[in-house]
Amino acid sequence: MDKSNMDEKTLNQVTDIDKVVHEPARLLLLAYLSFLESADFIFLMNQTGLTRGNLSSHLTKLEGAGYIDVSKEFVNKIPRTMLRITEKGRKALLEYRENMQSILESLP
Amino acid sequence: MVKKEEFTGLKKKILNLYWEDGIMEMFQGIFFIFYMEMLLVVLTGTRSSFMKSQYIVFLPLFLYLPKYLKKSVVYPRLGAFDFEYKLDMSYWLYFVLPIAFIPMICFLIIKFNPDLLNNEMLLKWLPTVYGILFAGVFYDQLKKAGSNMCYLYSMFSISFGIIVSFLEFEISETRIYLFFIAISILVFASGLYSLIRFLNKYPVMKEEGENG
Repeated sequence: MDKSNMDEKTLNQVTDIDKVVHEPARLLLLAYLSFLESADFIFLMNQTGLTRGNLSSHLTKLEGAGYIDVSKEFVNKIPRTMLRITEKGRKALLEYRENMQSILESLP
Repeated sequence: MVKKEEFTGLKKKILNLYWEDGIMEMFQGIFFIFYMEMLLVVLTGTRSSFMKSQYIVFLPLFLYLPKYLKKSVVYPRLGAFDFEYKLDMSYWLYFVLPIAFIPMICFLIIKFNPDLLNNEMLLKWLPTVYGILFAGVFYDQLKKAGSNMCYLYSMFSISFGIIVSFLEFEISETRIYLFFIAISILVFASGLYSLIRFLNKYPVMKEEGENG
């Protein structure tokens, strides 16, 4: 295989990586939600160790990209934010995994 | 700060969270008693209609109570999460379906071909059969959750089933009672112990609003 083509292909793959998923905290959040039917804000905060503000910011980005659904409900008059991954989010996670595997395999 | 170790074994961690409170184990222990009753109805047909109807009364509780308890006990401590415990196809084929169908198969054999297997033989050897099946169930559940107790439970289930089959009793049904009650107590006690540890490990979180 022509080495320069392989480098260019790898470079294109790297630049095409989904940056919404690529951020470690968001990748972790999507990974958790991919195994769960749903989870609330407090659960994700406890499991990931993120601060409230940080978690809120990442969830906003994921929601903006259409990768998660956010719904708010009241339980005993306390607001609860429930989160679940969308089909688009699952697909994005799967594509990210395949891209990363491909990139890592083509590295020297 | 994102914990790097969270990326590896995440599914195992979530499974461990699902089993950690011990609620499902406790219900499994109780369920084995009902299953034992159903099995004895099939094998001996000596239970009163009241006892036979207990499944209809209690079955909805098994569908509803575990989830209600998780919401009441687990969610205030860990936060709310909904995990669908999916079983592998091999688990269904090798364990769940045999456990579900053994009573029916026994009933059909006794009814249509009692020369093949009679009550006495079934009552003698079923503890061994169930010991092997339950060993597989325990091993699969606990191994997936990352618990080393899977080996102990499996060994106990098989060896106890075999031992009970070889013991002699005046009343043959005693073998079934002994096996299922022992397994039920083991599983229920294990679940109760897990629940107590869980309640001590995770205090109820202060109720405050989210900024999410």
